[in-house]
Order: sequence, then structure tokens, then C-alpha cells
Amino acid sequence: MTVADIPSTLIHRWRDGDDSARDRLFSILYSEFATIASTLLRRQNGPVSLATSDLVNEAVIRIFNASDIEIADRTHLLALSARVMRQVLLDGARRRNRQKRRSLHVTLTDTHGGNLSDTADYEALERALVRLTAIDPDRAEIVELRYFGGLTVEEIAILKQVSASTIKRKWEAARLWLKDALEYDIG
Amino acid sequence: MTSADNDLEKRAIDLVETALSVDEHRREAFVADAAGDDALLRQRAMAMLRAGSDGHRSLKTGGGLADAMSEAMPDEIGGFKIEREIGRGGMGAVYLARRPGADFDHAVAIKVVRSATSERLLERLRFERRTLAQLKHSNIAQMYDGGETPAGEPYFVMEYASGAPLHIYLKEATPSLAARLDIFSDVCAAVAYAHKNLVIHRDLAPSNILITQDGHAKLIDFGIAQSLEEDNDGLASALTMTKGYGAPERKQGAPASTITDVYSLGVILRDMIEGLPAPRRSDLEAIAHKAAAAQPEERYPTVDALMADITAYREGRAVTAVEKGWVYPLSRFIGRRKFAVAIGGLAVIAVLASSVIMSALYVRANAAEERAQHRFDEVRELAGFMMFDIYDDVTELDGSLKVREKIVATSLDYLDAIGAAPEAPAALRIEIARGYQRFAEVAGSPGSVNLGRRAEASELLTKAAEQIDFVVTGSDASAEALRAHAKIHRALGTLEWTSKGNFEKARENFTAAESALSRLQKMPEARLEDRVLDGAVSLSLSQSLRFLGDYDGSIAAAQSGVAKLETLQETHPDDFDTLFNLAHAYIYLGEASTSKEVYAGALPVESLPHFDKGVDLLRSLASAEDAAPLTRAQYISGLLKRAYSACQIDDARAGGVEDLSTAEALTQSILANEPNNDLFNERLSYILYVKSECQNGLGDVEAAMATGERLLKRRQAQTAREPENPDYLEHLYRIEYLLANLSKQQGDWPAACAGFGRAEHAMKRVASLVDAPADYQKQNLRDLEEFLLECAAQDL
Repeated sequence: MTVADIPSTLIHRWRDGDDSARDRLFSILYSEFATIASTLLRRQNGPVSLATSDLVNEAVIRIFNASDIEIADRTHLLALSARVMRQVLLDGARRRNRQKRRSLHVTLTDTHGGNLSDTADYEALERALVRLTAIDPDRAEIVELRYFGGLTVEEIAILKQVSASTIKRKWEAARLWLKDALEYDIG
Repeated sequence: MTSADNDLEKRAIDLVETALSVDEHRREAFVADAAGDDALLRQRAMAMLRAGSDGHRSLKTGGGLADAMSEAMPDEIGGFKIEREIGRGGMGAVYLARRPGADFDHAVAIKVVRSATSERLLERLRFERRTLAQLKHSNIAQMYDGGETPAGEPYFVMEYASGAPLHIYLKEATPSLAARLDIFSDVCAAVAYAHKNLVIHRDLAPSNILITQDGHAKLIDFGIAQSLEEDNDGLASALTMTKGYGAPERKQGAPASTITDVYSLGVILRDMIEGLPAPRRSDLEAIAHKAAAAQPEERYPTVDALMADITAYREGRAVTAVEKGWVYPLSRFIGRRKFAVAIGGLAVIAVLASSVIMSALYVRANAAEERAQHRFDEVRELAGFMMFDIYDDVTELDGSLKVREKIVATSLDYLDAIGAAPEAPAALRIEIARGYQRFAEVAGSPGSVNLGRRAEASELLTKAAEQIDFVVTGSDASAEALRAHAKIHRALGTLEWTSKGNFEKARENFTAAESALSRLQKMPEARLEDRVLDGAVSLSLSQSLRFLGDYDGSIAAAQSGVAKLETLQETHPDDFDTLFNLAHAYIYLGEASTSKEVYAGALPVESLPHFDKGVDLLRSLASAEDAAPLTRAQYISGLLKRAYSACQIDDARAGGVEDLSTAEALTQSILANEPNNDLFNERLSYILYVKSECQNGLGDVEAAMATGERLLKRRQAQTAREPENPDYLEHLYRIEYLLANLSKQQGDWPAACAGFGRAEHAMKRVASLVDAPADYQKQNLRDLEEFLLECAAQDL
């Protein structure tokens, strides 16, 4: 790791408008999140539920010297983490789905268990989110922050510089749109 | 995706967002109003609102990872090697697995429940697993096993069924109408079978019905949702219901029941016939419509009833779903089933239970809103209760005792709950009362008789009486109510009398029964059995009055019984029940008359003609070739009662001994076939005792001694088997005393004194075994002391 790659430095550079710093942060976070997530997902003995924000914090503590990070930076980092998490989960889902499709000739009719609509199908969610971004990028970002980043309404309000109640209403409406979209998603 | 589309979507989200600040129930109206003429906008906004109203997977804060966590695939569960994930649901995941080394045929599906947290829930899942393992039906994916992973997550090992889910199968295979109805019948059969085993599916939906390669339906995910739902109440109920297939009342928080399964089947049927050309299509639609009626009481009461209509449709018969004036379908259902009850014993519980439920649902539908919560709690009990029309089926199954006990317990809880509702209509109360009565019969029936159970029976009958009294207090009580009232009070009176010795309570109950019956006799609905019952209740009353010492009252009641039954005999000379009860009426009149005469210090001369009539009638009934054992037993009893009076009268004593010999021979012949029949063993001992005394009265001391010795041998053998039984010991005392007296009469002092000694020994053992010796027992001991003093004097 070069000096330029020291995460706290990257945050400063990103805050100063250096997009390459953000990309670098993204990849560092990605590998860290993927490692933590995959460890968690493999762990059979629980604890099963670790909140996403906890995970982000854990990653942040592991990557950065926590005291180096100011509140405002932390918020930006959380936002970035949400994006990273979204990507981690999507890639994981794609991998699994590829495996499924490979054995399709055998498992075409295997539907023991839940139906599509109550399945955490990240590919479908991703398609819906991409569409929502086209319709209303603001709401799509709120979804990303909350669902993938685990940010609270207040944290998002700080990040987006609007009132918490506005964020809450937008989140609720976006969620309804997504649920409707996922119901009719046929892949 | 055009920008116009995006614009529409944006406006729809904005509109929904605004609508969210309005009260929930006014949102749709708000949207409709705000959208104005813009039909597309309204449609999109409505779709979004409705997407929110059902509870499928919702995006939760930080849910991204949590949802992913539920996908983590273990390598091994319960000794099965996990091959791959084959499905995921709100509750967990399903994996294809197999035993290492086993071939593919032994592949299983393992469902792991991820959201189980509390110990209570785990306990329920364990119970659920055991229940489901008992479901063995060709149209249900078999549950094999289960357990908990090291992480404490419950899992179910199930038959691996491969097939297309119904909705996909319908789309791809486009089966014929006949094939569809075959599939639907498969599904119904499986659900009906499950209901008979007290299992509700709770989430019947096309995605849970697999169609196998050979076109058969296989239900999966049976009942697993139940425990989860119960743990979380309303929260998870949405989770465990597939949108569009869950009954509407469940959204209000009503529990899943057989009737909500019927709803789901109705929606599935609707799906299956949609857009399909079919003969008499309207009939088919009516069936689906009725099954999926919004109001539970308008649906088919059972899956069997739904299937019956499908069969009727297929055979070209009229279906009940299109019957005109189907306002209160249950009454017809119940009416039909009651008929079966008369034939089918335990089925009665089933029927009354289901009718109670239905009437109760009906009541609740009309209940005042402020009591909604209270009602809701009661209706919750319905879930289990709905299954009661299969109680009789359950009894046929091996090891069903536990299940039946559970049924009884749940039923009683339920009866208690709905019986307390002040607005319960008379018809409902009658059913409730009959419910208690039936359970009392189960509790107090011969074979299961013991004191604890009798107390239970008594308590149940008292509850039954409370309900039925409520109904008959009015002047407009129905024949049915009066009939039920009479039967319940008669049963209660009999129980008070036989198990508690409370003759006063018995009399009260018999009097109540009699007055209900006399009201009933004036109604056109009165039947022969009601009139026979009327006579029989007079006899019960006569008996209780006799035990209370009211001999005139007892005679009057017996005479009233005789008069009622003689009147019936004129019109029904061949009716067995009439004649059997009439014979008893004569006997009871004889007994009442005996008691009165003996109490007055006279000989029971007047009683003999009554006994003669009764014994003659019983003899003719008992001599019939197909006479029931009970009839023969009653004939023996009649002979014994007549002899008891006859033996007190010098002129009649010889006839008494003859009666006793006849009775002895008959009893011996019964015992030859059933040597262990306690009733007849006891009776034989009693016959011999009376016979010995009576023979002595005739002056035939030798015969009396011989009879007494035979009796003594029988009693000694019995006492040897149960040396601590105070009843047997007391009998032994009596016999020793009887024989000692006979010896004394003959001047055989050594034998007499030895006998008195043995009698004293027996009575002292009795006194030591009972809590407190009764006065007569103390008196007996004092008498014996005198005899023994006499013996001592003889020695001197």
C-alpha cells in the first residue's frame, strides 16, 4: 500500500473532488466487505443478524484508524459503503444464479419452497433499482443507503441536507414502488 | 422504457408519497380524487398502494445483508449432504440433500427455518414436525425427519418432490379441463386428509402445489408456516400467506383454519378454470365463487363439501353452490349431518362442534364492534376447533387417544368461551349444551368409570344444564330445546343419585326433566321416544323419592309412569322401549309399595301384584330369541326384587325361593359364558344370600345351610383375591353371621361360636380399613360381642 493508498488520505482526496480516490476506496471496501460478508454467510453458528451498519463500521475500523475519520467523512463513507454492499451482494447473487442456470436442464422444475416474489432476488432488485434511478435518482439513492447501507433516516437526512421526515416519506414511497415493481418482475 | 413512462412513474410515486400522509383507509380515495381523469396515473398509484397492503418481503433498513445472510448454504444438515439450494422463502431456505452414499432416489429436500428465535417457537416447530411426520398421503410431500442445526435453526427433512408449480404447469402444459379437475381433486383430497389429521396448510397457493411428471399433484410446505405465525401473531401472518390466496379475514388477524384453506382452494380453482371453455361453466364458477366467498360462513364448511360439489359437477348433477336461497348454508349442512349422527355414535360430537363453530362465526359477524377484540380471542380457538367434524374419523386411528384428549380439551375451552356470550342464540345454546352432554357421556361412560371421571361428567352436565336452562326459561322454547333439557337433567339426576348419593339433587333434576317433557308432549313435534322418555323420567323420579323416604310421592310418580306407558302400550303394543319401561314401572311401583308397607310395619302384601305384572312382562321380553343381555339381566333383577318381598310373607315365601332358584340358574348360565362378569358375580352372591335366608324362613334350615356354604366359598375366593377390600370383608361378615345363626338355630354351638368369631374378625378388619366405622358397623360389633359372651357362657 503506497502512502496515497492510505484510506484516510483517500477520504480526504475524495472529499476534495478526486474521483480516482473514491474508486480506490471502493475497491478497498469491496474486498473487505466481500471477505466479511462471505465469512458471515458461511458461518453456521450465528449470530445470524449483524446489521449492515455494524458491518460497515467493522470494515471502517479495520481499514481506517477510526479516530482519523470525521463525522462528515464517516457519512460519506457510509454512503459509499452502501454502494459497495450493493455491488457485493449483486455479484454474489449473480454467481449463485449462474450456478443455478448451469444445472437448469436438471432443475428446471425444482421449486421446492418459496416463490419468486418472496425471495431476496438481488438481480431483480438491481433491475428495479436501475429503473428507479432513471425515474427518480434521489429516491433510488435513499433506497440504496437504507437497504444496502443500513443508514438511519437521520443519517441520510444529514447526508442529503433535507429534513428527516422528507427522507422518511420518500423512502416509504420508493419502497412501495419497488415492491410493486418486484411483483411484476419476470426477469 | 420511454421518458413518458418514467414521467408517469415519477408522478405516481409523488402522488403515493402525498397519499401516505393521509389516513390509511382514505388513501385510495385520495389517490382516485387526485388522479382525476388520468386513468393511467390512478392505476399505477393504486397498484403501489396495494403492493404495500400485502406483506410480502419488504425492504427493511439494512435488509440487504440480512436477506443475503438467509442464503448462506451449509455443507451438511442432520447427516444429509447439502447438494444445492432449490428455493428460498421468507422463513428460510430449502436445499436438495442426500445421504452420503445413497443413490439419487433417496434425495430429500431440507427446509431450514432461519427466523425461529424463541424457545417457545422452537418447541412448537418440534411439535409441528411430529404432527407432519404422521401425514402420509400420496398427494402430500412426506415429512421424514427434522431437528435443529448446531446454530439452533430448526430444519425439516421432506420428500424431494420434483415437478412444476401449478401456475407454471398450467401455463406450459395447458392441460384439459378433466386433467385440471383431476389435479384439483388431488389437492382437495390431500387438504381434506390433512384437516382430518388436525393440520391446516395455511398457505395454499399454486406455488405450493407441484405437478409431477405423471400429472399428479403434490402439496409441499404443509403447515410449517403455522408455528411461525402463532409466534408472531399478526406480524408474520402476511409473511406466511401468498398474496391473493389468503382468506380476507386473515388480514384482519383471524387465525388460519380449515375454512381459510377452503378459501385458498376456491381461488386456486378460479385460477385453474380461468378462460377455459367448460360445459355448464357457470356451475364451475359458482363452486369457485362459493369456496372463495369473502364471508367465511358463505363458504363450503369443509373441503369434503367442496369436493362433493366438484364431483356433482363432473357427474352432471346439480351443485349446491347454485342452490337458490343459500342464505345460511350451514343450517342445511348441519341438518343433513344430524341424520348421520343418529346412526353414527361419536359422530355427534363432530357435528355439533362444527355447527357450534359456524353458528358462532355467524354470531360474531354480527357482534358489536367494541367487543371485537374479545371476540377475536374466542375466534382464535376456532382454528383448532374447525376440525371437529372429523373427531369420529380420528377415533379410528391407532394411538388417537392423545389427539382425542386434545380435541376434548380444546372443545371444552371453546364451549366455555362461546357459552359465555350473552347474545348466543337459542339454537347455539342447545348445541353447546349437547356438546357438554356428549363429553360428559364420554367421561362417565361405563368402561372408563372412576370417581374422578364421574366428577368431571357431573361438572360437564352442570354446564350443559346452565346452557339449556337459559333456553327453556322462555315460554317459546322449541321441542328440540325441551328434549335436550329433559335428557340433560335426567342424566344429571342419575349421576347425582348413583355417584354422589344426592337424592335431593336427583329429585330436582328429574322434576325439571319431567316438566320439560310434559310441555313437549303438548307439541306436535312430540315423538314416540319423547313419550317413552316421559314415562321413564317419572320412574327415575319415583326412585329418587323412595330413597328420600317420600313413599307416597314415590308411589304416585310410579303410578304416573305406569299410566303414561300403559297408554303408549295401547297404541304401540310391540314397541320394545315402551314395554321395557312399562315392566320397570310395575317393578318400581312394587318397590315403592314395599317400602311404604315395610316402613309402616306391615308386610309388603300389596306390592306383589305389581311385581307379578313387571316380572311377567320382563319374562316375555327376555325369552325372545334376540333378547339383549340387558333385558335378561333386568328379568333376573325383577325376580330378585319380587322374591325379596315374597320372602317376607309366609304365604308367598315358597314362590320367593322358586324365583331365586330361577334367578340363580339364569345367572349361572350367563356366568358360564362370561365367568369374569363382575356384575353377575355380585348378583349371584346376592341371590344366594337372599335364597339362604328365604329357605331358612321356609323352615328348610339344611337347604339354607347348603346355600350359605356355597355362598361362603364364593366370597372367600373373592376376598382372597382382594383381602383389603372392605366391601368383600363386609359381605364375608354377613355370610359368616348368617351361617353362625343357622348353626345356633340347630343347636350346633361350637360351629355357631366359631362362625361368630370369624364374623367378628371380618368386621374388625372392615372397621380398621374404613376411615370411620358407620353406626351400623359399630352396632354389628356390639351384637357380635353379645353372641360371643353367650358362647363363652356355653363353654362354662
